Amino acid sequence: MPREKFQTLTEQMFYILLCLRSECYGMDIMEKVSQMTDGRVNVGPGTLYNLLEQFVSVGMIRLTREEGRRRSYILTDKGKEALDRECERLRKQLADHDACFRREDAQ
Amino acid sequence: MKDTKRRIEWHAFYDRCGMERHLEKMAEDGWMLEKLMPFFWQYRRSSPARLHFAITYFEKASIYDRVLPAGQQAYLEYCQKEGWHLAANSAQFQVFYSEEEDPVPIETDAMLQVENVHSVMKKTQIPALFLVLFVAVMQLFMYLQQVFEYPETELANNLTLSILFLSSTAVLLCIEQICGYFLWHHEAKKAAALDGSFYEGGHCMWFQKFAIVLGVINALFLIYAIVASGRWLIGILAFIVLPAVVCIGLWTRNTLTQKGVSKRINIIVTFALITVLIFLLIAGIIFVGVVTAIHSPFTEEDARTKVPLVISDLVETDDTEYEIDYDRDHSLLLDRIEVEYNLEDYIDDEDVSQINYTLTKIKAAAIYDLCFDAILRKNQELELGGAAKYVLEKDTSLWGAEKVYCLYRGERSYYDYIVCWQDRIAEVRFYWQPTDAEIVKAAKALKSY
Repeated sequence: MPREKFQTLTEQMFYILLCLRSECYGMDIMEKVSQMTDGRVNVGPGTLYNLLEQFVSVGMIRLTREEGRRRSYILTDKGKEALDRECERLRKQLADHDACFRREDAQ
Repeated sequence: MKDTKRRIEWHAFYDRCGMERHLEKMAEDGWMLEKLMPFFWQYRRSSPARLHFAITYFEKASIYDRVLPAGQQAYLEYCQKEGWHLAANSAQFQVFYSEEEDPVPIETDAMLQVENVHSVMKKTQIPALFLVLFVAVMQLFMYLQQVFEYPETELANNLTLSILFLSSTAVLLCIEQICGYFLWHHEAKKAAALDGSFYEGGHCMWFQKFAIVLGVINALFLIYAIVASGRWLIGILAFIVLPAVVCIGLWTRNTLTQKGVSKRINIIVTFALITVLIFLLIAGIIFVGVVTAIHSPFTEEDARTKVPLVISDLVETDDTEYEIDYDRDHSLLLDRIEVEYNLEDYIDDEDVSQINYTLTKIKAAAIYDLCFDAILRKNQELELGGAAKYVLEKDTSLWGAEKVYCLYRGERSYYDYIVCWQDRIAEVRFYWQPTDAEIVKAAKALKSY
């Protein structure tokens, strides 16, 4: 898995990781993301499965339990770092946006 | 009323959107996908319904493994939870449907979807296409080499034409499939990277349909060629043995898969069996061919009806003293007859009434020069020693031909000719010095045949 891949996160990646700050069944993530975003972001089951597999393979989350077909996961330190990095990036974007419009309004 | 329908579908493996649209239309018409078979899809009659379909690809699945790979069960459950039901599954290829009006799609990340399709294509379809392309190109190359070296014999054989046609079609189809896929991949990746959208560009199905029509025409042509040439062994090989080997291979694989044999053992056993079967069957066919290839004697009576020129047309002789060899090959492009009248107790260098000739009738003017060059080259090469040469004769009136070449060794001429008429070329070797009248008779017979 190329490291550059998760340098920035898509909305779906971001919310999946956010759901996994506490242990969670993979199957429940789709519902949680939808609730968390008031239905604005939906993660398809295929996309969820592939992202969970990739996050596990790069160590951003880990498998905590496997009960038959049900698997639960939790965020790792590396995953937390990725989330923090993404938040920081978004904050900077927001700050840049605000600064630009404040300047224009002042003129 | 039939409750089951089987259709050959023309979609490329990666043409997800095209397949989804097609399945939605079928469901609206009351046909629900039931099974994905190697050569067709099976539908069952159902109540017409507005359903949504989704095609997905699961890289780790295999046709050699009945047990779903780790994770695929979880994958299916995730889909089930979102209202997507599995309609049909064939190893790496799954078809889901949803009855909901506006379901969350199974794939919501375009880039991931493109990567997923690409990993499956790289693992199975692309290597298979390159393998077929390699085999077809090699076959085409070998046959073309033969055609350019011996056009006068190779182009007289409908089986050669059929194989050339078939190989060319296979090459074009493989190139179209490979290029079509990489073009799709490029566009889909670009769209996903640009704004995360899913590329819906379809795949041109007309070319595949066109190639299949060509394939059917070729199969009919092959049947005609086999019947016309009487080469039944090739017919058996093409239409019975090879399909039988394919069916036995599929049956073995499916049986082992159902019995839960491991993927590795399944692959080894299936491929070993196919290899052994092919060798056995080819060896068997060659054996039967050799055993049944009994040289049937060609009598003077046969000759009277089949060959343009018999020895007794030229000289007074006892026909029963001759051994006659006759061979004919004819195709859409050429008609070629080889005849040899040899005395049974012939002693070399004796001036006797023997004649050998080959008449090549050329049905397509475009290949005349190619055939002539090859015939002249072949005859020159047969005359070892270097001093022998076919020389263009000034006077062609006896033969009534456009061009006549005569064999010379130094200053001495021999009674060995290459005669060119507008639509035919004859190679004639007299073993005695023919008179002008005999040459005229021979020319007339060969020209009018």
